[in-house]
Amino acid sequence: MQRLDIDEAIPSLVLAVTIKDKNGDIVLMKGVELTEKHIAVLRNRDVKRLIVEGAPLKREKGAEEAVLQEVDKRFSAAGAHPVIAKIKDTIKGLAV
Amino acid sequence: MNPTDAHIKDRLLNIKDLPTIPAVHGRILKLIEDVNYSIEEVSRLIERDQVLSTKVLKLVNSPFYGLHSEVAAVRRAVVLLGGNLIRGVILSTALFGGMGEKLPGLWDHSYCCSMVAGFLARRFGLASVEEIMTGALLHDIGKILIKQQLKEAAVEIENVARSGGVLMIEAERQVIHITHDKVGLWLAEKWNLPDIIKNIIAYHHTPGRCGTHLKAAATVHFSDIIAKGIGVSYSDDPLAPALDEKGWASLGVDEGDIVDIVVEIVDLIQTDKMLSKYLSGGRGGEQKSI
Repeated sequence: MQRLDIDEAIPSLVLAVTIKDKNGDIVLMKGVELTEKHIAVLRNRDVKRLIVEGAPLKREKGAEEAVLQEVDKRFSAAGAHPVIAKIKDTIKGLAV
Repeated sequence: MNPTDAHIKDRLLNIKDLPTIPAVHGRILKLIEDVNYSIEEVSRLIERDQVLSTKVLKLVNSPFYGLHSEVAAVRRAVVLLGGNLIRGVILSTALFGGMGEKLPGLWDHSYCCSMVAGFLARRFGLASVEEIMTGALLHDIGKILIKQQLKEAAVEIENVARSGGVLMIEAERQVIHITHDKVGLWLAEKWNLPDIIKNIIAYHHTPGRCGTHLKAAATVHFSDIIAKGIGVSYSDDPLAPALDEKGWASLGVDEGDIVDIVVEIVDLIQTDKMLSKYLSGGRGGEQKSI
């Protein structure tokens, strides 16, 4: 999972989280594979950011690693329950 | 209660050391005991106190309330927040008053938990949203009391937590054989707080053991995990606790919704004036990272 600015969005990326506009109305559902047309709609609805599956964009390596390690550390005493794993992975995905 | 517990309880609740509640705050607490309190009267008293007015307005203007325009009038804030939350703000202000600097991050963590718990309580369709937010705001009051009343033990607890990489509650158990959830409950009893708030404080680590207010305690437990996971925490207690399975099950949340829930919470925190400093804009290097 990775959070992108709208300017970084390209066709074929898959949405990991449903996109809503400022009023809370759904613009695009999670699971949708983006097309140029979708991206235009998002811009039109003033959507600034989106969260996609995978990690399509390579960020600056060092900074990314440090953030991920920090998140791991915060969860080091929280056990391995699938719910905890999901929370952790989501936070990591938003961080890089 | 064994003799050691009773001794520690006496030391912790020694009345002359407890933070004093200013007369005006005391009058407000007295007024809101009556459910039909006068909003005018409570607002007037709050307006006389700069610190309290600021806190009340900050709370109501948090993005978690989702208001479209900024609330500048205390009267409107009192209507929106409700008596219990006002009471929570007054009591936490008294407790944090002299201690805030000695517990860096704890106020932010408490405030964050309160907002997250309110968001979740609404999302889960729970009743008593306001009481749950108040319980979340006060859930760690036991930590403040331990720090204030058992100074030497508190230093040892912090050392054990830090060096051992364990939760503060675990370190408390090792050092003083009493934990902050129980200490918080004693204080809540002394303050005569409503049962739901007492139960949230007492069971925020173990909601599965809470009878009557299981879901309320579980919501605050889950908020605590998320707040710490995001990094909004008291600097000496930064570790997220393990999930209480019975508490979690009581909420009936689909695991498939967790990603959405966490994303929405992070988005809200990002737009909160007090909490956004804990997050980055999502790009390494520029700001403090998530």
